[in-house]
Amino acid sequence: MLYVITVGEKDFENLFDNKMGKTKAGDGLRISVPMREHCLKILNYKKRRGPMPVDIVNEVKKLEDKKEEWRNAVSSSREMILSNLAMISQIPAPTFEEKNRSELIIERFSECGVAEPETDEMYNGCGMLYGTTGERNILITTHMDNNFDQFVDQNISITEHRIFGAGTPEDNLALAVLCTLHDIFSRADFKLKSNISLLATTRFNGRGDFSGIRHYMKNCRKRPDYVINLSGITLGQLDYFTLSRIRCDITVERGNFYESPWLSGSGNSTIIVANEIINSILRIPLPRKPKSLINIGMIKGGERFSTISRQTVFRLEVLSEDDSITDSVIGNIQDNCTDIGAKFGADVKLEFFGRHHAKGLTCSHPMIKCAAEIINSIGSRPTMNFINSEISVALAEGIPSLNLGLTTGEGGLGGKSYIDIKPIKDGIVQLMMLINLIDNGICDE
Amino acid sequence: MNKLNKWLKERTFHYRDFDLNELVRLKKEKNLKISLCFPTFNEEKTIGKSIVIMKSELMDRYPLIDEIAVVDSGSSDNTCTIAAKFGAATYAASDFLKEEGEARGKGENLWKALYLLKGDIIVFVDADISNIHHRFAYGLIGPLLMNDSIKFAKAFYNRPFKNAKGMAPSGGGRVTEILIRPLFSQFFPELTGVIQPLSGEYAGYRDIFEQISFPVGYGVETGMLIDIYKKWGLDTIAQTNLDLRVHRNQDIISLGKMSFGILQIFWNRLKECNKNFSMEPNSLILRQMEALAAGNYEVRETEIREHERRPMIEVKAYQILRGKALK
Repeated sequence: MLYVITVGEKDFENLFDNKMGKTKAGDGLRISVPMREHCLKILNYKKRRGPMPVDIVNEVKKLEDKKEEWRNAVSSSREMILSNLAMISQIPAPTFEEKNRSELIIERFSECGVAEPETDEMYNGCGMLYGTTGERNILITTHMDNNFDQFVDQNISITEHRIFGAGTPEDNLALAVLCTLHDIFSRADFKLKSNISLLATTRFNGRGDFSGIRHYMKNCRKRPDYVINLSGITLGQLDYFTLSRIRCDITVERGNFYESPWLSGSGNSTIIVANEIINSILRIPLPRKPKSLINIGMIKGGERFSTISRQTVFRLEVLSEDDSITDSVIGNIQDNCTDIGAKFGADVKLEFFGRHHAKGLTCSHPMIKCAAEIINSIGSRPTMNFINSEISVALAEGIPSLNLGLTTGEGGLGGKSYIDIKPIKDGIVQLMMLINLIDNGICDE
Repeated sequence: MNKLNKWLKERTFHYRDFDLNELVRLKKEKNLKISLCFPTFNEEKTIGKSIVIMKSELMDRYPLIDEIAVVDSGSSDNTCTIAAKFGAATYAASDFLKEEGEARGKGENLWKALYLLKGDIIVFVDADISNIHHRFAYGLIGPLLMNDSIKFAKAFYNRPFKNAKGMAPSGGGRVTEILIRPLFSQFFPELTGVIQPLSGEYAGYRDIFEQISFPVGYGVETGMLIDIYKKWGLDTIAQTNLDLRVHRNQDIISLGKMSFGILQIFWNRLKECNKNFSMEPNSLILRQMEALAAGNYEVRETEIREHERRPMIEVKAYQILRGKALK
């Protein structure tokens, strides 16, 4: 006969007589030897390591039955997801110009019954799904802005198995899913104790420097306990740490010289000065461990074949696993620019921005273990990588955060970027499974 | 002019004038069925999105439309497969009313949609709209439900077009401004109030559509507009601003062919109106100039024959299907 008993820690220790295998109370409850050994193992573990670990594999397995129900619910919302995706894609949202898209998001939230749909001062689109007790606060987020201006055709094309369109793989699908979550939860009868905050952020890319999510985190009424960031691609992606990062614009300018290189000498060109600076940056020593790199990503300079360049601008990014390396590189770049500027008589301006600190969870964190197990359970393989997304801001504040991909596809700026329709279902089910485990405390440390 | 301006004021709407909840309520109150038809020919790039949006927004979210169908002219691409996958009823126009003879064109698909679809109101939306939105349907249903005297609603919009560099901010409507508006100004001045007479999106009551003939090719919009105007008057017609429509921009040669087809239909209508002309078009050959690579020119001839379908109410099979007899 199997007895299931629930006891506190002390009771648990008092309950068993190690020699006799009987309860001290002498009520005749007998515990089998294997069972007794199992209990002892747990006791010893607790003494050694603190709280008992949750069997995450088992917890994920328990959701097997639910998984099919949730899949069906997602399937029945398919048109709504795709419809949201189509309409979101039709509204251009280059960074700093997300207002119109934000209004659509709020309208969508409002139409499907999300509580408190509103935009804040940064035009972040926010909404709430209240749980029964509000025990935990889970923030689900993605960003609205992208790199395409209004003259780029962002209208999508939905074919039998794939959706084609600029921006769709990177972010628009995630936004569409965010807008449809409430409908999916209702169809799946997916009830939670926790509150879910839905957040579509602005000012993510480039000079936006995550200021949308920063503003939200600074001003939100209740600090999230967990943050899940959604990406369009790739399903199986599981990102939970960020690198130390800084970006820099370097502008080299000159004035007061003859335009003609014949008269003034071509060495006066700002392109030549920029070239010297680039060479000096490439000479900055970087360790293999912690891994670090400097990427010179963009350059623009000069006007014509026949004139000396008056202005050259280039942009670079420093990435490292260690903040102190980034700090030292910043110092090196500043010194080099001052020296070379003085040597050539050029005006060299540096603007550093977009600083992120190396932060993250480890794969032993229950949330990451749960996510990895869930990804396995849906037949995908978890792939871990660093990411600079909304989770950078949350991780910097010590909030357990991760990034999940929703489907497979191929990104890029060209019209050939696409996402696959079929895996979207699994992408959303994995999200629901993770939310369920967070809600039930399985992801708590 | 006063009458025309009055009509413009009273019968010109914006899609934002209509509240979807109110439209659903009116539809229920009036006990009407509404069908949406996409006439298609090789539209695999846009048909999926069109159906997904209409189904999600106007069937699932707001139950305004009862039926979405694609009537196809024999696409060689995946148009029908995609349409069926996303839940549209899909019909090959050539499979129905075979006893009426063969014809192929957008007008043929619209005409057969009257036979195939069940709605009391039928909405026709072109399937090549890149920025499709449910306003393209409910913006046209709105005037019909809100005002009992309106029987036919037509779309107008801004028409930026796609070119090699992306989106050009304005353009389109060249045939309207160069051909249709001058002709209307001469022969049907009241119809000059219709901002985009050639727009491919319109909605109307079945009772109206079944009593007019359908040009099979380019002239279907022009013929339909003139017929409704002549039979029921300007006040039965409304127009709705649907904001922005992004579409494929047609080259000038294609627009020439379209104009030639429209002219045939226009002349037919003038004859029916007993307008007295000393000259009539006597050629079905369009001659267009083509610049050759060597720098020479050549006249290219294309035969364009605008065929017309008789009013659906006169078709025996339709009378039996709908339980209607010719009055």
